[in-house]
Amino acid sequence: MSRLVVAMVIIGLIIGICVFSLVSTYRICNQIDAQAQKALEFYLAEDYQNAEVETQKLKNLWQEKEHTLVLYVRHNVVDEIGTNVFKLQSYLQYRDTPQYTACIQTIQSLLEDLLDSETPFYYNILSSFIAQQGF
Amino acid sequence: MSLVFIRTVLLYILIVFSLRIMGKRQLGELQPSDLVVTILISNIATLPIEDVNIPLISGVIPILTFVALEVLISVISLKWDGARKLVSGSPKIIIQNGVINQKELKKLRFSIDDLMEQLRSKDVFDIADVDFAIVETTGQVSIYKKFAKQNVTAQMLSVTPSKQDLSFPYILIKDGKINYEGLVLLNLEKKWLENVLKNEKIQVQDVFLFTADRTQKYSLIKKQY
Repeated sequence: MSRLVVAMVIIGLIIGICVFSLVSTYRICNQIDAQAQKALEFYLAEDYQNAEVETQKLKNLWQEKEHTLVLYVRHNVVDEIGTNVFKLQSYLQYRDTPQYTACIQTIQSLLEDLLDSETPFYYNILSSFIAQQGF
Repeated sequence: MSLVFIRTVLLYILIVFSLRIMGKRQLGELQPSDLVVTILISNIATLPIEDVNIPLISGVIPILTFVALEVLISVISLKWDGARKLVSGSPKIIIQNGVINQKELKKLRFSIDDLMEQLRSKDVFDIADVDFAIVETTGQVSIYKKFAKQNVTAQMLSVTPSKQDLSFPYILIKDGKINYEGLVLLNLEKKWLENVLKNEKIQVQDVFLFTADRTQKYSLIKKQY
């Protein structure tokens, strides 16, 4: 009976961790996405001073949230987003509009993919399984 | 590298904990579901060790899920026969009254070589010696020999056992520490143990192994290092 209780506690903990990680991931990705969008809007409006402030805020936000994100998702995805975040400052400095906008859009796309892959939809479950089997 | 080391230690602790939760049946002969879980756990545990890009929790959650499911299924199987049959199957008789049930052998995909190998592992070299043989859910074969071929027992010879024969030996000291549970089990006093050690001119901490039975017959092995 005690083992049964332990098993039930473990299941409860796992469900709790899964829900918590999903909520955390959603919250972080939405924050980063919103901040990236803000920076892009200022840049496209040619308000470079505010764009710089928002880009710096994005960088700081990423540095703060990255450590939480790596607990739940594959590090290579997180690293790729981080690489793009850190490139923004240089593109902004040299007013490289195509690269800057492409970088922001890449970040947003990666965040969307990350959220999509973490959410337990049926196609995620099936497609990941199929991908692992090499089909 | 240090990451790999720390992850390995953590996962090792988790796996030992998991096996303890799943219980002794996991360590004994494995049922099909036990075998699946054991293999899966060992495979999953290697993933976060080999690839530090994978979060540790991606290894921890599947392992704990298997543990919890395994315990739940074993509890359900205990209470409900149908579940046990579904998960583990049921034992099948392949030899009945000395006659091989070839149909059952075919269903089990058990070849005659498999059968003979299992019989030989039970020290049966002549199939004619077997009265009943059952294939258990673990794949092992249990054998009941014909009366004429069975090992002689005390009951057959009408031998009355002595007090010595009814007493099993138990460990009372191992690696210099007294096992008080053993003393209680054998109904022996600590004073008796101390007297024995005094007669043998040895201290408790110098004893490697001390076993005794209810009749106070003992065996003592001293430490060499």
